[in-house]
Amino acid sequence: MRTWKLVGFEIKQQVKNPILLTITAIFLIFVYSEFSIYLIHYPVKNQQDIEAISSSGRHAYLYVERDTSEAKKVLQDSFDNLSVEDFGGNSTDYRLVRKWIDTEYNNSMTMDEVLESFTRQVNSPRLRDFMNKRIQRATEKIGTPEQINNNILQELKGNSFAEKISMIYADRTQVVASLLAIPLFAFLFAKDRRYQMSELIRIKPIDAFRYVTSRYMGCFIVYISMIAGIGMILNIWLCINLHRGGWEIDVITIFKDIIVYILPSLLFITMFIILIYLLSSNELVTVPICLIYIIYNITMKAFTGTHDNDINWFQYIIRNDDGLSLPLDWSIISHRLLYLVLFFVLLVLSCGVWKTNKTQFWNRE
Amino acid sequence: MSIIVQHLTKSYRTKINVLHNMDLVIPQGMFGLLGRNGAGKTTFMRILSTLLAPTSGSVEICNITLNKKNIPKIKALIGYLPQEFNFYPNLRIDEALDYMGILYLMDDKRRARRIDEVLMEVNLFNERTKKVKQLSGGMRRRLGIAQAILHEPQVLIVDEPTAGVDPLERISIRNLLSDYSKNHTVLLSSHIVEDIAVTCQQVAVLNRSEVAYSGELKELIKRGKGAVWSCSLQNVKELDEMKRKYTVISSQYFENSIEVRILSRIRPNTSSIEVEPSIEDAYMLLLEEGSDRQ
Repeated sequence: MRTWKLVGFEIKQQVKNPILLTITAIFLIFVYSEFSIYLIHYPVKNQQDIEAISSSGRHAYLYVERDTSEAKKVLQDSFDNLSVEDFGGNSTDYRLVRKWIDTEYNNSMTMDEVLESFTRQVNSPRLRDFMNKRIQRATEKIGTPEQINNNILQELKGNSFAEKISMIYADRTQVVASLLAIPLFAFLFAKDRRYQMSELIRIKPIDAFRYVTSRYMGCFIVYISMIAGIGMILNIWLCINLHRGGWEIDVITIFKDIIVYILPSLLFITMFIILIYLLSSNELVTVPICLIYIIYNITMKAFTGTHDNDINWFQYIIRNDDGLSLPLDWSIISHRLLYLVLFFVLLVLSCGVWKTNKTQFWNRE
Repeated sequence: MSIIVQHLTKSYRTKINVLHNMDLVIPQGMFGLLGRNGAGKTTFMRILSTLLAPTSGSVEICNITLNKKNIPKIKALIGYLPQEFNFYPNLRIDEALDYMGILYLMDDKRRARRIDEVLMEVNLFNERTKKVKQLSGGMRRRLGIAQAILHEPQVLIVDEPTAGVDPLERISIRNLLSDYSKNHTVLLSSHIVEDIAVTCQQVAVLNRSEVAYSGELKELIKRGKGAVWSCSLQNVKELDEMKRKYTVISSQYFENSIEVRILSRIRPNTSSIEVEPSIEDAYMLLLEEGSDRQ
């Protein structure tokens, strides 16, 4: 019971903590910038939604195929209006393509025949790309809201849109919340030293395990509650919109994704941050070490040159950029269990370091 | 409720003895600890409060031997106020004490009752909702004492509790500690000899890591008998001459003379008059004679 008293005390302090309030604001801004497009423009209702989604990047589901005759006409028109500016002012490229059009192209060709003939006549990978894009633009067009929504649902392959967004939330949150956790957890025990409270605390009969665990839990509970709360609000908002659009809703998956992906990752990295601080007793050392470690976990490619896998035993974050549904199989479960075990190992180590740490307040000796 | 220290030594890897072969008995009541900066007072107090382990020797607090196994028991018995301390600045006074009470593993009822009681005792009850950062130095010291006595420890260890506070606050803090010592053991270290003089019956003086004196305050003062002189000098030249030969405790400038107080086992000059020693005189004499021996 007394442990929970200390947890409760820490929770009350963290709720008023300016660092946490700043982190919450930053996280909210991030969530809004990343997810507002889904909240406001999905399901697609009108041209405004289409333009907003289009401006956020190329999404295959925005496009539908033109019929053959329309495609040929569009391609013909694009060839008729070709100019040097289309080649960035490169007149050599323009002349090459112009020559091919004038000598080889006719509008009875299929798109495949167009590409094959062009590739045969013009030996330039760059110009091949150019022609490819022209053909793509000719063969597809931005669909109507109904067509786009159908495309989205087909891409989901039976999964709900809410599931996809939940998975994206789990992916992005593991990254962003890990980075934002650094100042919060690096300073958690630093303030005992900074405010000269270390001796007052160490003279008390509370044992190291109870003290470290309680302070940590108080801080972590507030942090994960903030993240989970924002995730759930996001999910509810999305589900309301999906329901209005006649799409399937899913209010459960977000819980699963928080528990399976976000919680173990944040438990591990926050305890890692605390252990590094307790070992170094120096926030200025802790921050860069944790930053480098988190960046390594976000993308191992930056350090080793190997490609990211979804699940890698050396990375605590399970990446899933596209939000594709990952089957909850043994590889994921064992990965999560491993990092939960590592969390407990780091916790025990941290308690031991705190207990024996003499440098924190015996600087005068 | 006594503290018994036997052959206590504390040294570090640099082989410097911070404390050397200390023997001391601290009975119930107010016990003063005097000594220069670096004499080992704070180290001694940290050992008693389990923050430091001794290199050798033994310490017994209320019949419990100080060792690793007994640390939790001893922590429950003692209250400690370090020389330098603070609290999280945005905590209110009652929150700060609540936090300390939780760390003392006190149950809710007892903690709530004791918070009210100690706030009354240290005269901070009406300021209980003030934040720590709003407190003056003296109020912060009183809050420090409040957290030290919150769990009603049998032994209270206070390191320089009146350092940097104004005379009124000093008196208030002295009275607090004196009241607490009626039924408990209070070990008080201070540079301010007067604080020891008006509150303690027993004192120990640490000099160069060793106990130079331990016993009743009046016996310490008696040692100064015949060694404290008052005389009147004509000018600064005479004063300088006197300072070269003897320890001048104080000098007061008047219109036509300088009144000086001197420590010496022999009469300094024919016009010197022997005066009753104060605790400060006795303390200075002890330190001086201790230095001469070395």
